Amino acid sequence: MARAAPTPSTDDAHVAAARFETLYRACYQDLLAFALRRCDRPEAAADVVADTFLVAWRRIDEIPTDQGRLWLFGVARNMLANHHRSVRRRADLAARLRQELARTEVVAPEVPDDVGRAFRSLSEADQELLRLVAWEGLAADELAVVLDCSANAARIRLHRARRRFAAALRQPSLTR
Amino acid sequence: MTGENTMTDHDEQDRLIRLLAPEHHVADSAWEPDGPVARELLQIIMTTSTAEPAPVRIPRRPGSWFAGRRFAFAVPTVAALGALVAVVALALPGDPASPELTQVAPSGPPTAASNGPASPAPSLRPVALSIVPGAEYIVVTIVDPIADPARYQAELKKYGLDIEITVAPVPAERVGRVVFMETGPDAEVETIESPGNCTANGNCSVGIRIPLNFKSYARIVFGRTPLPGESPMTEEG
Repeated sequence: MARAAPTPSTDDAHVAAARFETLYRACYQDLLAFALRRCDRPEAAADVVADTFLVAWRRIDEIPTDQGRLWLFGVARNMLANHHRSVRRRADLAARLRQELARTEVVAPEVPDDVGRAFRSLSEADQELLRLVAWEGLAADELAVVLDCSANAARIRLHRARRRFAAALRQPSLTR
Repeated sequence: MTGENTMTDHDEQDRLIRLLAPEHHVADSAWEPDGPVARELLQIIMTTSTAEPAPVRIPRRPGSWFAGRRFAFAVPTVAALGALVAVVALALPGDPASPELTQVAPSGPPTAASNGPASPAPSLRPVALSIVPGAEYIVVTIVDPIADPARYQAELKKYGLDIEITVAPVPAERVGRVVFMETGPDAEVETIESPGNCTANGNCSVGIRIPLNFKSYARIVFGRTPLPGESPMTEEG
């Protein structure tokens, strides 16, 4: 059963609504791009975006003002994990966005085979760490927010992932 | 023997990994935060309850809230890609500031907490009602419906839509939801569902979407908060 919203005063409700709208507008494209890059089909990104913002709407009071984007990435990562093991619904919040994204043209990357192979030889955790840095431009302390770990742990994990990627790049033929 | 900790090597790694990213060419209508698609999603999210849901999807199933009723759901046809959208939200009565027709402004409606337990004195919320010129859909959602929706009925009529929207007192968890829908043949009325925000028997509806070129008829009942002393409609309706 839904817990009662804490019957906020109208002022509080306005502040929360304004905060959410600001977050939504500021992060919509980043989150959509984040989701698109990680979904097999562009339509699937619609659910990730809609569900992530829905969570943000419900928890707007918990989102640190200066970390909204990172907070959304963190939630979206969980959404993506859930998507991989759940059947999605038909008509819902994301219906319209899904329709539109179905028209999205996807240009497959052009990368030397050995680079792709080296990257795919890494664990999924290493890959995602490196993607967050290269694709989303996150620094180590920002990774910590997304991954919900300490900054120190994030630095160590990133360092190791880089080391393993460098090693994999040096031996392309072994993974062939 | 490695120099991989140097900044240059990191940059080179990042460059290679960036090459691995697929490129997406998204239609402007979906890409722009102020475009019609993003604005509609924002509007729908902000009219859902802020109460915490169970993070699951519960699709409609037989034997639940529509049992025994004649009703039809149309599969959303993709007739109006890129179209603008109109949003109509039923609002409270007695809000003197309620405009009859208001563009949904960026400052938007405040949070809707109407799916929480029934409150005998729901707080007033501004009306959110807008019909965007050139729109091809009307979206009807409920902010906190105690109102007689006659005014919005009239708006729908202005668009030549044979759609009757009424409200009925319901238990708290069904406030703002579609509790009954009857549609004519070929009626393309689509329910908007908020998975994870559902009643115990799987009603996840938070609104409906109707194409403006709708030629059929529809009768739709939304749940509203009971007035003091009023008994909510039972599950059987």
